[in-house]
Amino acid sequence: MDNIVLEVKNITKDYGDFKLDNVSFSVPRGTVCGFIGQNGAGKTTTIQLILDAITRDSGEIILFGQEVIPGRSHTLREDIGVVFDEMGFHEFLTPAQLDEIMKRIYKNWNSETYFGYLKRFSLPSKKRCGNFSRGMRMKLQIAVALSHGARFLIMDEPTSGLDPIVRNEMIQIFREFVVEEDHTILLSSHITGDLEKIADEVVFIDGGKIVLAGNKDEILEKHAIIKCKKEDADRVSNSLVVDKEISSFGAEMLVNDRDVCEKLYPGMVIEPATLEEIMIHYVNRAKSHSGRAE
Amino acid sequence: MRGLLLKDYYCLRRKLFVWGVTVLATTIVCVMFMISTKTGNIAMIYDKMANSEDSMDAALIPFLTRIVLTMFLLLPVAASFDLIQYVFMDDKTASFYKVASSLPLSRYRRVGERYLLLGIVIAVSFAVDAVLLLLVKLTSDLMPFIDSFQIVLAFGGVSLFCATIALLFGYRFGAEAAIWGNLLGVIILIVAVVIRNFSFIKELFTVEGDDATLCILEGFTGAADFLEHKGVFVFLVSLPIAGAGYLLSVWIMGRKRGVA
Repeated sequence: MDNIVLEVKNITKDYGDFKLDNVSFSVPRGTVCGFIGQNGAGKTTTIQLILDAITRDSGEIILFGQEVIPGRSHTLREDIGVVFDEMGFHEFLTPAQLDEIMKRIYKNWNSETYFGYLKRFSLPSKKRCGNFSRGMRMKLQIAVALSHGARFLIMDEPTSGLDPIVRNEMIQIFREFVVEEDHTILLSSHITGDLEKIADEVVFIDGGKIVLAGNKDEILEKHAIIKCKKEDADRVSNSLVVDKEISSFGAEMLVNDRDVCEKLYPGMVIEPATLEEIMIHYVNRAKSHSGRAE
Repeated sequence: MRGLLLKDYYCLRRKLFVWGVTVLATTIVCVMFMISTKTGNIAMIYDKMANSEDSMDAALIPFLTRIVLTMFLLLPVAASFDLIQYVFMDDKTASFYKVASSLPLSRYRRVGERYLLLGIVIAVSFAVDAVLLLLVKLTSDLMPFIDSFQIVLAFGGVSLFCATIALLFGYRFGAEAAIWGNLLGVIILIVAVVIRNFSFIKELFTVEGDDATLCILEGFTGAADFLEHKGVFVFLVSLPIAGAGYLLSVWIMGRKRGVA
Protein backbone atom coordinates (compact mmCIF):
# COMPACT_ATOMS: atom_id res chain seq x y z
CA MET A 1 0.00 0.00 0.00
CA ASP A 2 2.96 2.34 0.57
CA ASN A 3 3.47 2.36 -3.15
CA ILE A 4 0.01 3.74 -3.81
CA VAL A 5 -0.46 7.50 -3.50
CA LEU A 6 -4.12 7.57 -4.39
CA GLU A 7 -6.71 4.84 -4.16
CA VAL A 8 -10.25 5.50 -5.28
CA LYS A 9 -12.68 2.74 -4.29
CA ASN A 10 -16.21 2.49 -5.67
CA ILE A 11 -16.99 6.19 -5.44
CA THR A 12 -20.39 7.37 -6.53
CA LYS A 13 -21.75 10.85 -7.01
CA ASP A 14 -25.22 11.29 -8.42
CA TYR A 15 -26.27 14.69 -9.74
CA GLY A 16 -29.49 13.38 -11.26
CA ASP A 17 -28.55 14.21 -14.85
CA PHE A 18 -25.05 12.79 -14.42
CA LYS A 19 -23.75 9.99 -12.26
CA LEU A 20 -20.21 9.06 -11.39
CA ASP A 21 -20.81 5.36 -11.04
CA ASN A 22 -18.74 3.06 -8.86
CA VAL A 23 -15.42 4.55 -9.93
CA SER A 24 -12.30 2.69 -8.77
CA PHE A 25 -8.67 3.14 -9.70
CA SER A 26 -5.31 3.71 -8.07
CA VAL A 27 -2.25 5.82 -8.79
CA PRO A 28 1.14 4.27 -7.91
CA ARG A 29 3.81 6.45 -6.29
CA GLY A 30 6.38 7.98 -8.62
CA THR A 31 4.26 7.66 -11.75
CA VAL A 32 2.41 9.94 -14.13
CA CYS A 33 -1.16 8.76 -14.39
CA GLY A 34 -3.10 10.00 -17.37
CA PHE A 35 -6.78 10.48 -16.64
CA ILE A 36 -8.46 10.50 -20.02
CA GLY A 37 -11.97 10.87 -21.26
CA GLN A 38 -14.06 13.14 -23.43
CA ASN A 39 -15.52 16.39 -22.06
CA GLY A 40 -18.26 15.63 -19.54
CA ALA A 41 -17.00 12.10 -18.89
CA GLY A 42 -16.54 12.76 -15.15
CA LYS A 43 -12.85 13.68 -14.90
CA THR A 44 -13.37 17.01 -13.14
CA THR A 45 -16.02 15.57 -10.78
CA THR A 46 -13.60 12.78 -9.83
CA ILE A 47 -10.84 15.33 -9.19
CA GLN A 48 -13.18 17.44 -7.07
CA LEU A 49 -14.05 14.36 -5.02
CA ILE A 50 -10.37 13.51 -4.56
CA LEU A 51 -9.74 17.09 -3.38
CA ASP A 52 -12.81 16.84 -1.11
CA ALA A 53 -14.17 19.95 -2.81
CA ILE A 54 -17.53 18.18 -3.13
CA THR A 55 -19.05 15.41 -1.04
CA ARG A 56 -19.31 11.90 -2.46
CA ASP A 57 -22.46 9.81 -2.07
CA SER A 58 -20.58 6.60 -1.35
CA GLY A 59 -17.20 4.95 -1.70
CA GLU A 60 -13.78 5.51 -0.26
CA ILE A 61 -10.78 7.64 -1.21
CA ILE A 62 -7.37 6.96 0.29
CA LEU A 63 -4.73 9.62 -0.19
CA PHE A 64 -1.14 9.18 1.07
CA GLY A 65 -2.43 6.18 3.01
CA GLN A 66 -5.10 8.18 4.84
CA GLU A 67 -8.81 8.05 4.22
CA VAL A 68 -10.28 11.27 2.84
CA ILE A 69 -13.10 12.08 5.25
CA PRO A 70 -15.57 14.52 3.67
CA GLY A 71 -15.10 18.01 5.07
CA ARG A 72 -12.20 17.01 7.32
CA SER A 73 -9.26 16.19 5.11
CA HIS A 74 -8.16 19.66 4.06
CA THR A 75 -4.74 19.22 5.69
CA LEU A 76 -3.92 16.53 3.11
CA ARG A 77 -4.05 19.29 0.49
CA GLU A 78 -0.81 20.71 1.95
CA ASP A 79 0.95 17.97 -0.04
CA ILE A 80 -1.03 18.42 -3.25
CA GLY A 81 -0.38 20.91 -6.01
CA VAL A 82 -3.35 21.58 -8.25
CA VAL A 83 -3.40 23.07 -11.74
CA PHE A 84 -6.72 23.83 -13.41
CA ASP A 85 -7.65 24.46 -17.03
CA GLU A 86 -8.09 28.15 -16.24
CA MET A 87 -5.93 30.30 -13.99
CA GLY A 88 -8.33 30.97 -11.10
CA PHE A 89 -6.33 33.90 -9.71
CA HIS A 90 -7.78 37.40 -9.84
CA GLU A 91 -6.57 39.33 -12.84
CA PHE A 92 -5.55 42.35 -10.77
CA LEU A 93 -3.19 40.29 -8.62
CA THR A 94 0.53 40.24 -9.37
CA PRO A 95 2.68 37.11 -8.87
CA ALA A 96 4.42 38.96 -5.99
CA GLN A 97 1.05 39.50 -4.26
CA LEU A 98 0.23 35.81 -4.80
CA ASP A 99 3.41 34.98 -2.91
CA GLU A 100 2.17 37.13 0.01
CA ILE A 101 -1.19 35.33 -0.05
CA MET A 102 0.11 31.78 -0.45
CA LYS A 103 2.73 32.04 2.26
CA ARG A 104 -0.12 32.74 4.69
CA ILE A 105 -2.01 29.67 3.47
CA TYR A 106 0.56 26.90 2.94
CA LYS A 107 2.69 25.84 5.90
CA ASN A 108 5.56 24.78 3.63
CA TRP A 109 5.38 27.65 1.17
CA ASN A 110 8.83 28.50 -0.15
CA SER A 111 9.10 32.01 -1.61
CA GLU A 112 12.59 31.34 -2.90
CA THR A 113 11.39 28.34 -4.91
CA TYR A 114 8.41 30.33 -6.16
CA PHE A 115 10.45 33.28 -7.38
CA GLY A 116 12.90 30.78 -8.88
CA TYR A 117 10.10 29.34 -10.98
CA LEU A 118 8.89 32.82 -11.94
CA LYS A 119 12.40 33.60 -13.17
CA ARG A 120 12.68 30.30 -15.01
CA PHE A 121 9.30 30.78 -16.69
CA SER A 122 10.13 34.46 -17.48
CA LEU A 123 7.08 35.65 -15.54
CA PRO A 124 7.30 39.26 -14.31
CA SER A 125 6.56 39.36 -10.58
CA LYS A 126 5.13 42.88 -10.55
CA LYS A 127 2.87 42.62 -13.58
CA ARG A 128 -0.85 41.89 -13.15
CA CYS A 129 -1.65 38.34 -14.18
CA GLY A 130 -4.63 39.62 -16.17
CA ASN A 131 -2.06 40.80 -18.71
CA PHE A 132 -0.52 37.34 -19.03
CA SER A 133 -1.01 35.11 -22.06
CA ARG A 134 -2.71 31.72 -21.60
CA GLY A 135 0.65 29.98 -21.52
CA MET A 136 1.98 32.39 -18.89
CA ARG A 137 -1.14 31.88 -16.77
CA MET A 138 -0.68 28.12 -16.82
CA LYS A 139 2.99 28.52 -15.90
CA LEU A 140 2.00 30.77 -12.99
CA GLN A 141 -0.35 28.06 -11.74
CA ILE A 142 2.44 25.52 -12.02
CA ALA A 143 4.83 27.82 -10.14
CA VAL A 144 2.29 28.07 -7.30
CA ALA A 145 1.60 24.32 -7.36
CA LEU A 146 5.31 23.47 -7.13
CA SER A 147 6.30 25.96 -4.43
CA HIS A 148 4.83 24.39 -1.32
CA GLY A 149 6.58 21.04 -1.31
CA ALA A 150 3.75 19.12 -2.98
CA ARG A 151 4.34 15.41 -3.46
CA PHE A 152 1.32 14.90 -5.67
CA LEU A 153 0.31 17.08 -8.60
CA ILE A 154 -3.27 16.96 -9.78
CA MET A 155 -3.86 18.67 -13.08
CA ASP A 156 -7.21 19.16 -14.74
CA GLU A 157 -6.77 19.79 -18.48
CA PRO A 158 -3.64 21.92 -18.00
CA THR A 159 -2.55 21.76 -21.61
CA SER A 160 -5.87 22.43 -23.35
CA GLY A 161 -5.81 25.55 -25.50
CA LEU A 162 -2.02 25.87 -25.40
CA ASP A 163 0.20 25.94 -28.46
CA PRO A 164 2.43 22.88 -29.05
CA ILE A 165 5.62 24.68 -27.96
CA VAL A 166 4.21 25.67 -24.55
CA ARG A 167 2.60 22.23 -24.14
CA ASN A 168 5.93 20.59 -24.75
CA GLU A 169 7.60 22.95 -22.27
CA MET A 170 5.01 22.04 -19.65
CA ILE A 171 5.43 18.33 -20.25
CA GLN A 172 9.15 18.83 -19.67
CA ILE A 173 8.36 20.48 -16.31
CA PHE A 174 6.11 17.55 -15.33
CA ARG A 175 8.90 15.12 -16.24
CA GLU A 176 11.32 16.99 -14.00
CA PHE A 177 8.79 16.86 -11.17
CA VAL A 178 8.46 13.07 -11.28
CA VAL A 179 12.21 12.54 -11.39
CA GLU A 180 12.06 12.74 -7.60
CA GLU A 181 11.14 9.30 -6.33
CA ASP A 182 8.06 10.09 -4.29
CA HIS A 183 6.56 12.61 -6.70
CA THR A 184 3.39 11.59 -8.51
CA ILE A 185 1.14 13.22 -11.10
CA LEU A 186 -2.51 12.69 -11.97
CA LEU A 187 -2.92 14.41 -15.30
CA SER A 188 -6.43 14.77 -16.62
CA SER A 189 -6.64 15.53 -20.31
CA HIS A 190 -8.51 14.80 -23.47
CA ILE A 191 -5.34 15.55 -25.46
CA THR A 192 -4.10 11.99 -25.58
CA GLY A 193 -0.95 12.89 -27.51
CA ASP A 194 0.48 14.61 -24.43
CA LEU A 195 -0.32 11.60 -22.28
CA GLU A 196 1.31 9.19 -24.69
CA LYS A 197 4.50 11.18 -24.25
CA ILE A 198 4.54 11.27 -20.49
CA ALA A 199 2.07 8.89 -18.80
CA ASP A 200 3.06 5.61 -17.15
CA GLU A 201 -0.47 4.68 -16.16
CA VAL A 202 -3.77 5.44 -17.84
CA VAL A 203 -7.26 5.64 -16.42
CA PHE A 204 -9.97 6.03 -19.03
CA ILE A 205 -13.38 7.25 -17.92
CA ASP A 206 -16.52 7.57 -20.00
CA GLY A 207 -20.09 8.41 -19.00
CA GLY A 208 -19.08 8.39 -15.33
CA LYS A 209 -17.67 4.85 -15.47
CA ILE A 210 -14.11 3.58 -15.66
CA VAL A 211 -13.63 1.88 -19.00
CA LEU A 212 -9.96 1.03 -18.82
CA ALA A 213 -7.25 1.38 -16.20
CA GLY A 214 -3.69 0.13 -16.09
CA ASN A 215 -0.19 0.49 -17.37
CA LYS A 216 -0.12 2.64 -20.51
CA ASP A 217 2.37 0.48 -22.40
CA GLU A 218 0.41 -2.67 -21.60
CA ILE A 219 -2.82 -1.04 -22.80
CA LEU A 220 -1.14 0.09 -26.02
CA GLU A 221 0.45 -3.31 -26.57
CA LYS A 222 -2.78 -5.15 -25.92
CA HIS A 223 -4.99 -3.11 -28.25
CA ALA A 224 -4.66 -2.95 -32.01
CA ILE A 225 -6.41 -1.60 -35.05
CA ILE A 226 -7.41 -4.10 -37.71
CA LYS A 227 -8.05 -2.75 -41.17
CA CYS A 228 -9.69 -5.14 -43.61
CA LYS A 229 -12.28 -5.50 -46.35
CA LYS A 230 -15.94 -5.23 -45.38
CA GLU A 231 -16.60 -8.88 -46.05
CA ASP A 232 -13.65 -9.95 -43.85
CA ALA A 233 -14.87 -7.93 -40.84
CA ASP A 234 -17.30 -10.63 -39.72
CA ARG A 235 -14.50 -13.18 -39.53
CA VAL A 236 -13.07 -11.48 -36.47
CA SER A 237 -14.50 -12.90 -33.26
CA ASN A 238 -16.90 -10.51 -31.52
CA SER A 239 -15.24 -11.22 -28.18
CA LEU A 240 -12.06 -9.57 -29.51
CA VAL A 241 -13.70 -6.56 -31.11
CA VAL A 242 -14.19 -3.47 -28.99
CA ASP A 243 -15.79 -1.47 -31.76
CA LYS A 244 -15.85 -1.50 -35.52
CA GLU A 245 -16.48 1.08 -38.19
CA ILE A 246 -17.61 -0.10 -41.57
CA SER A 247 -17.52 2.23 -44.55
CA SER A 248 -17.68 1.78 -48.31
CA PHE A 249 -13.85 1.59 -48.35
CA GLY A 250 -13.59 -1.22 -45.83
CA ALA A 251 -13.68 -1.94 -42.13
CA GLU A 252 -11.61 -0.65 -39.24
CA MET A 253 -11.90 -2.18 -35.82
CA LEU A 254 -10.29 -1.91 -32.42
CA VAL A 255 -9.42 -5.27 -30.91
CA ASN A 256 -8.51 -5.97 -27.31
CA ASP A 257 -5.92 -8.74 -27.81
CA ARG A 258 -3.32 -7.97 -30.37
CA ASP A 259 -1.29 -11.20 -29.95
CA VAL A 260 -4.32 -13.43 -30.37
CA CYS A 261 -5.45 -11.47 -33.43
CA GLU A 262 -2.02 -11.75 -35.05
CA LYS A 263 -2.17 -15.53 -34.61
CA LEU A 264 -5.80 -15.97 -35.69
CA TYR A 265 -5.87 -13.51 -38.61
CA PRO A 266 -2.40 -13.49 -40.18
CA GLY A 267 -3.60 -12.05 -43.48
CA MET A 268 -5.13 -8.92 -41.98
CA VAL A 269 -3.40 -5.57 -41.46
CA ILE A 270 -2.95 -5.24 -37.70
CA GLU A 271 -1.54 -1.89 -36.58
CA PRO A 272 -0.70 -0.52 -33.14
CA ALA A 273 -3.50 1.63 -31.70
CA THR A 274 -2.93 5.08 -30.26
CA LEU A 275 -4.55 6.22 -27.03
CA GLU A 276 -6.76 8.51 -29.08
CA GLU A 277 -8.01 5.62 -31.23
CA ILE A 278 -8.59 3.49 -28.15
CA MET A 279 -10.53 6.32 -26.52
CA ILE A 280 -12.65 7.00 -29.61
CA HIS A 281 -13.56 3.34 -30.16
CA TYR A 282 -14.47 2.73 -26.52
CA VAL A 283 -16.67 5.86 -26.56
CA ASN A 284 -18.30 4.69 -29.81
CA ARG A 285 -18.95 1.27 -28.29
CA ALA A 286 -20.56 2.84 -25.22
CA LYS A 287 -22.73 5.03 -27.47
CA SER A 288 -23.86 2.10 -29.60
CA HIS A 289 -24.60 0.04 -26.46
CA SER A 290 -26.66 2.84 -24.92
CA GLY A 291 -28.37 3.35 -28.31
CA ARG A 292 -29.34 -0.29 -28.34
CA ALA A 293 -30.51 -0.11 -24.73
CA GLU A 294 -32.80 2.79 -25.61
CA MET B 1 -7.58 32.24 6.64
CA ARG B 2 -5.15 35.18 6.82
CA GLY B 3 -4.19 34.48 3.22
CA LEU B 4 -7.80 34.73 2.06
CA LEU B 5 -8.29 37.91 4.07
CA LEU B 6 -5.21 39.40 2.38
CA LYS B 7 -6.59 38.35 -1.02
CA ASP B 8 -9.89 40.07 -0.18
CA TYR B 9 -7.99 43.14 0.98
CA TYR B 10 -6.32 43.29 -2.46
CA CYS B 11 -9.82 43.00 -3.98
CA LEU B 12 -11.28 45.70 -1.75
CA ARG B 13 -8.34 48.06 -2.12
CA ARG B 14 -9.59 48.90 -5.60
CA LYS B 15 -13.05 49.68 -4.28
CA LEU B 16 -12.03 51.50 -1.12
CA PHE B 17 -11.95 54.77 -3.06
CA VAL B 18 -15.75 54.67 -3.45
CA TRP B 19 -16.18 53.83 0.22
CA GLY B 20 -13.69 56.59 1.16
CA VAL B 21 -15.66 59.13 -0.91
CA THR B 22 -18.85 58.04 0.91
CA VAL B 23 -17.20 58.55 4.29
CA LEU B 24 -15.72 61.89 3.23
CA ALA B 25 -19.10 63.09 1.89
CA THR B 26 -20.75 62.02 5.14
CA THR B 27 -18.15 63.92 7.16
CA ILE B 28 -18.58 67.07 5.05
CA VAL B 29 -22.38 66.90 5.38
CA CYS B 30 -22.09 66.44 9.15
CA VAL B 31 -19.77 69.44 9.49
CA MET B 32 -22.03 71.59 7.29
CA PHE B 33 -25.07 70.58 9.33
CA MET B 34 -23.30 71.45 12.55
CA ILE B 35 -22.29 74.85 11.23
CA SER B 36 -25.82 75.43 9.96
CA THR B 37 -27.46 74.49 13.25
CA LYS B 38 -25.14 76.86 15.13
CA THR B 39 -24.88 79.87 12.88
CA GLY B 40 -26.41 79.04 9.52
CA ASN B 41 -29.82 78.73 7.92
CA ILE B 42 -31.10 75.95 10.18
CA ALA B 43 -30.35 78.06 13.27
CA MET B 44 -31.97 81.10 11.64
CA ILE B 45 -35.17 79.22 10.71
CA TYR B 46 -35.33 77.69 14.17
CA ASP B 47 -35.02 81.11 15.83
CA LYS B 48 -37.69 82.62 13.60
CA MET B 49 -40.12 79.77 14.24
CA ALA B 50 -39.41 79.65 17.95
CA ASN B 51 -40.25 83.37 18.23
CA SER B 52 -43.40 83.03 16.16
CA GLU B 53 -46.78 81.71 17.27
CA ASP B 54 -46.22 78.38 15.56
CA SER B 55 -43.76 76.99 18.12
CA MET B 56 -44.78 73.43 17.40
CA ASP B 57 -43.25 73.61 13.91
CA ALA B 58 -40.09 75.03 15.45
CA ALA B 59 -39.81 72.00 17.71
CA LEU B 60 -39.79 69.83 14.60
CA ILE B 61 -36.64 71.44 13.19
CA PRO B 62 -34.09 69.70 15.51
CA PHE B 63 -35.99 66.44 15.07
CA LEU B 64 -35.94 66.63 11.27
CA THR B 65 -32.30 67.73 11.34
CA ARG B 66 -31.45 64.65 13.37
CA ILE B 67 -33.28 62.39 10.92
CA VAL B 68 -31.44 63.83 7.93
CA LEU B 69 -28.08 63.67 9.72
CA THR B 70 -28.75 60.08 10.82
CA MET B 71 -29.53 59.12 7.23
CA PHE B 72 -26.10 60.38 6.19
CA LEU B 73 -24.43 58.60 9.09
CA LEU B 74 -25.88 55.31 7.90
CA LEU B 75 -24.23 55.63 4.49
CA PRO B 76 -20.83 54.12 5.51
CA VAL B 77 -22.59 51.01 6.89
CA ALA B 78 -24.73 50.72 3.75
CA ALA B 79 -21.66 51.11 1.52
CA SER B 80 -19.88 48.37 3.49
CA PHE B 81 -22.30 45.76 2.19
CA ASP B 82 -21.45 46.67 -1.40
CA LEU B 83 -17.82 45.88 -0.62
CA ILE B 84 -18.72 42.29 0.30
CA GLN B 85 -20.61 41.88 -2.96
CA TYR B 86 -17.60 43.17 -4.90
CA VAL B 87 -15.44 40.45 -3.33
CA PHE B 88 -18.01 37.77 -4.12
CA MET B 89 -18.27 38.87 -7.75
CA ASP B 90 -14.48 39.18 -8.10
CA ASP B 91 -14.08 35.57 -6.94
CA LYS B 92 -16.73 34.48 -9.39
CA THR B 93 -15.15 36.39 -12.30
CA ALA B 94 -11.73 34.89 -11.60
CA SER B 95 -13.14 31.38 -10.92
CA PHE B 96 -11.24 31.59 -7.65
CA TYR B 97 -13.61 29.01 -6.15
CA LYS B 98 -11.70 26.27 -7.94
CA VAL B 99 -8.39 27.45 -6.47
CA ALA B 100 -9.94 27.87 -3.02
CA SER B 101 -11.21 24.29 -3.08
CA SER B 102 -7.64 23.05 -3.62
CA LEU B 103 -6.14 25.03 -0.73
CA PRO B 104 -5.48 23.35 2.62
CA LEU B 105 -8.36 25.22 4.23
CA SER B 106 -11.51 23.66 5.61
CA ARG B 107 -14.95 24.73 4.43
CA TYR B 108 -15.48 26.24 7.88
CA ARG B 109 -12.46 28.47 7.38
CA ARG B 110 -13.27 29.43 3.82
CA VAL B 111 -16.84 30.43 4.65
CA GLY B 112 -15.75 31.83 8.01
CA GLU B 113 -13.35 34.19 6.26
CA ARG B 114 -16.19 35.73 4.26
CA TYR B 115 -18.31 36.25 7.38
CA LEU B 116 -15.28 37.59 9.25
CA LEU B 117 -14.66 40.06 6.43
CA LEU B 118 -18.29 41.16 6.67
CA GLY B 119 -17.82 41.64 10.42
CA ILE B 120 -14.61 43.63 9.92
CA VAL B 121 -16.19 45.92 7.31
CA ILE B 122 -19.22 46.59 9.53
CA ALA B 123 -16.95 47.15 12.56
CA VAL B 124 -14.89 49.70 10.57
CA SER B 125 -18.13 51.44 9.54
CA PHE B 126 -19.18 51.56 13.20
CA ALA B 127 -15.81 53.08 14.10
CA VAL B 128 -16.16 55.75 11.38
CA ASP B 129 -19.68 56.59 12.54
CA ALA B 130 -18.56 56.70 16.17
CA VAL B 131 -15.90 59.28 15.26
CA LEU B 132 -18.45 61.35 13.29
CA LEU B 133 -20.96 61.18 16.14
CA LEU B 134 -18.28 62.34 18.57
CA LEU B 135 -17.62 65.23 16.23
CA VAL B 136 -21.32 66.10 16.23
CA LYS B 137 -21.51 65.71 20.01
CA LEU B 138 -18.54 68.04 20.52
CA THR B 139 -20.10 70.79 18.43
CA SER B 140 -23.77 70.62 19.47
CA ASP B 141 -26.32 68.94 21.70
CA LEU B 142 -28.37 67.96 18.67
CA MET B 143 -27.57 64.27 18.81
CA PRO B 144 -26.85 62.42 22.07
CA PHE B 145 -23.97 60.03 21.36
CA ILE B 146 -25.37 56.84 22.89
CA ASP B 147 -28.85 57.25 21.39
CA SER B 148 -27.53 58.04 17.94
CA PHE B 149 -24.98 55.25 18.03
CA GLN B 150 -27.78 52.83 18.86
CA ILE B 151 -29.43 53.81 15.56
CA VAL B 152 -26.14 53.05 13.78
CA LEU B 153 -25.97 49.70 15.62
CA ALA B 154 -29.54 48.88 14.58
CA PHE B 155 -28.72 49.64 10.98
CA GLY B 156 -25.55 47.54 11.33
CA GLY B 157 -27.78 44.70 12.54
CA VAL B 158 -30.08 45.16 9.55
CA SER B 159 -27.06 45.18 7.20
CA LEU B 160 -25.66 42.05 8.85
CA PHE B 161 -29.03 40.29 8.51
CA CYS B 162 -29.42 41.23 4.83
CA ALA B 163 -25.78 40.37 4.08
CA THR B 164 -26.27 36.97 5.74
CA ILE B 165 -29.23 36.21 3.47
CA ALA B 166 -27.21 37.52 0.50
CA LEU B 167 -24.24 35.28 1.38
CA LEU B 168 -26.55 32.28 1.72
CA PHE B 169 -27.99 33.01 -1.71
CA GLY B 170 -24.48 33.54 -3.08
CA TYR B 171 -23.30 30.16 -1.81
CA ARG B 172 -26.45 28.36 -2.92
CA PHE B 173 -27.21 29.96 -6.28
CA GLY B 174 -23.99 31.71 -7.25
CA ALA B 175 -22.48 35.16 -6.78
CA GLU B 176 -25.00 36.91 -9.04
CA ALA B 177 -27.86 35.74 -6.81
CA ALA B 178 -26.43 37.53 -3.76
CA ILE B 179 -28.21 40.77 -4.71
CA TRP B 180 -31.57 38.92 -4.69
CA GLY B 181 -30.72 37.55 -1.27
CA ASN B 182 -30.12 41.09 -0.10
CA LEU B 183 -33.47 42.15 -1.50
CA LEU B 184 -35.20 39.21 0.20
CA GLY B 185 -33.58 40.26 3.49
CA VAL B 186 -35.06 43.75 3.12
CA ILE B 187 -38.49 42.29 2.25
CA ILE B 188 -38.40 39.98 5.29
CA LEU B 189 -37.63 42.96 7.53
CA ILE B 190 -40.37 45.11 5.99
CA VAL B 191 -42.90 42.29 6.44
CA ALA B 192 -41.77 41.81 10.06
CA VAL B 193 -42.17 45.55 10.78
CA VAL B 194 -45.61 45.64 9.11
CA ILE B 195 -46.84 42.59 11.07
CA ARG B 196 -45.47 43.99 14.34
CA ASN B 197 -47.16 47.40 13.77
CA PHE B 198 -50.19 46.28 11.79
CA SER B 199 -52.81 48.07 13.91
CA PHE B 200 -50.86 51.34 13.78
CA ILE B 201 -50.42 51.10 9.97
CA LYS B 202 -54.14 50.36 9.61
CA GLU B 203 -54.93 53.46 11.66
CA LEU B 204 -52.57 55.49 9.49
CA PHE B 205 -54.67 54.69 6.44
CA THR B 206 -58.02 55.47 8.11
CA VAL B 207 -57.34 58.83 9.84
CA GLU B 208 -57.67 62.11 7.91
CA GLY B 209 -56.60 65.75 8.12
CA ASP B 210 -54.54 66.95 11.10
CA ASP B 211 -54.94 63.56 12.77
CA ALA B 212 -53.07 62.00 9.85
CA THR B 213 -50.15 64.42 10.34
CA LEU B 214 -50.09 63.64 14.04
CA CYS B 215 -50.26 59.94 13.30
CA ILE B 216 -47.30 60.10 10.90
CA LEU B 217 -45.35 62.17 13.42
CA GLU B 218 -46.18 59.64 16.10
CA GLY B 219 -44.91 56.87 13.84
CA PHE B 220 -41.63 58.65 13.19
CA THR B 221 -41.01 59.47 16.83
CA GLY B 222 -41.99 55.93 17.85
CA ALA B 223 -39.54 54.42 15.37
CA ALA B 224 -36.82 56.85 16.37
CA ASP B 225 -37.47 56.13 20.04
CA PHE B 226 -37.26 52.38 19.41
CA LEU B 227 -34.00 52.65 17.46
CA GLU B 228 -32.41 55.09 19.93
CA HIS B 229 -33.17 52.93 22.94
CA LYS B 230 -33.30 49.39 21.60
CA GLY B 231 -31.00 49.58 18.57
CA VAL B 232 -28.35 47.54 20.35
CA PHE B 233 -30.82 44.66 20.64
CA VAL B 234 -31.46 44.72 16.90
CA PHE B 235 -27.71 44.32 16.41
CA LEU B 236 -27.44 41.61 19.07
CA VAL B 237 -30.30 39.64 17.47
CA SER B 238 -28.53 39.80 14.09
CA LEU B 239 -25.41 38.12 15.54
CA PRO B 240 -26.90 34.62 16.14
CA ILE B 241 -28.70 34.91 12.78
CA ALA B 242 -25.33 35.56 11.10
CA GLY B 243 -23.89 32.60 13.08
CA ALA B 244 -26.68 30.32 11.86
CA GLY B 245 -26.18 31.68 8.33
CA TYR B 246 -22.50 30.80 8.56
CA LEU B 247 -23.20 27.18 9.55
CA LEU B 248 -25.84 26.88 6.86
CA SER B 249 -23.41 28.29 4.26
CA VAL B 250 -20.82 25.65 5.23
CA TRP B 251 -23.50 22.96 4.86
CA ILE B 252 -24.54 24.32 1.45
CA MET B 253 -20.92 24.42 0.30
CA GLY B 254 -20.49 20.73 1.06
CA ARG B 255 -23.54 19.75 -0.93
CA LYS B 256 -23.40 22.09 -3.85
CA ARG B 257 -22.92 20.84 -7.39
CA GLY B 258 -19.43 21.77 -8.49
CA VAL B 259 -17.03 23.67 -6.28
CA ALA B 260 -18.43 26.53 -4.22
